[in-house]
Amino acid sequence: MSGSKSGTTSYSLTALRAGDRAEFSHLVESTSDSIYRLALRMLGSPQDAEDVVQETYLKALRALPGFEGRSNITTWLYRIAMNEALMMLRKRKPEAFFLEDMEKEDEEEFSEPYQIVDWCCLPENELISGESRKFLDTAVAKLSPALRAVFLLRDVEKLSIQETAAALNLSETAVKTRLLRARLKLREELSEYFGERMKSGLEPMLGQAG
Amino acid sequence: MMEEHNCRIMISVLGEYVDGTLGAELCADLERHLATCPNCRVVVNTLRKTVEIIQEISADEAMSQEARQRLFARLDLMEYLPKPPGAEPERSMLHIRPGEPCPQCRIGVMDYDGMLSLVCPVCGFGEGGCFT
Repeated sequence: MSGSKSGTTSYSLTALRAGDRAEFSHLVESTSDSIYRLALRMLGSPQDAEDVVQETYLKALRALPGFEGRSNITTWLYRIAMNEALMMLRKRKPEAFFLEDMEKEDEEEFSEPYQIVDWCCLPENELISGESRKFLDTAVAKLSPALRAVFLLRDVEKLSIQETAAALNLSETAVKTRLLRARLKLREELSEYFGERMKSGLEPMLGQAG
Repeated sequence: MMEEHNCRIMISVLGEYVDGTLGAELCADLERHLATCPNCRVVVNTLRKTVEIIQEISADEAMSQEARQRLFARLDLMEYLPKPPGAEPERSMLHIRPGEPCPQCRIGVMDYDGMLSLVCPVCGFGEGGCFT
């Protein structure tokens, strides 16, 4: 798979570090939608997401002079934003954060796929519009923060495994494990949902035949 | 029984398989298994599709213009706020300073005229005109 989505845009680090406002606004303009999307999916509230975006760039602005450029600047922004979002979540729902549990979970075996329905053939608009879309949003929101963070960075923002690991301060192995766990969980949910839709789509036809 | 055992082993490599990063040997093993196991084929297909449709619904999520404005204001960058799509295209004078090349003809050097408006002496591009 390709690297990060915003990896193609390059910024002058020298200008950014020197406090060049035009260059910083260029960075904000080209990355803020991604940061917002990430924050929105982590927190579920547009207001909180907006706060996270503002905090992210304020922190970046302050930290830029010392930014060494060891990681890609967009990965660095994702890292700041994710920290902000997780901090906000932790304040709101401390019970969702037991680091030990997360690490224990990394050791567990993957739960076996349960739903075996091939719903891939459903028409595209059935899969991504209206009610389905709401269901998909909820399914992502139901993942634990630890799994959601990995899934969003890797699969939605399309960071590489390595970049995701850097943004979350995790090992690449932990990223791969959590990513697969998140994908499998979502697949179960979606299979159950679309499986039902396929059945209910068939029933009227069966009724007519009988 | 043997097949079921294989299915369990295969789960842990599915992530790398759908990403196309699985090593050649394991990849060949998995594909041999997939050829004989319709259930695992369904799992692989629906796993791929799951990622694909969530990517699709997320692609068009963006900040509202109002939120963007508040962000640029908070960062003290209002002068750089890009116009929303659909707004009249217009060359902004805000980025141009005297002594810089003209953004229109790229020949003249921007300078103040007798009315203290920043204009290009070559093509006339500039902020002249009346206050409205």
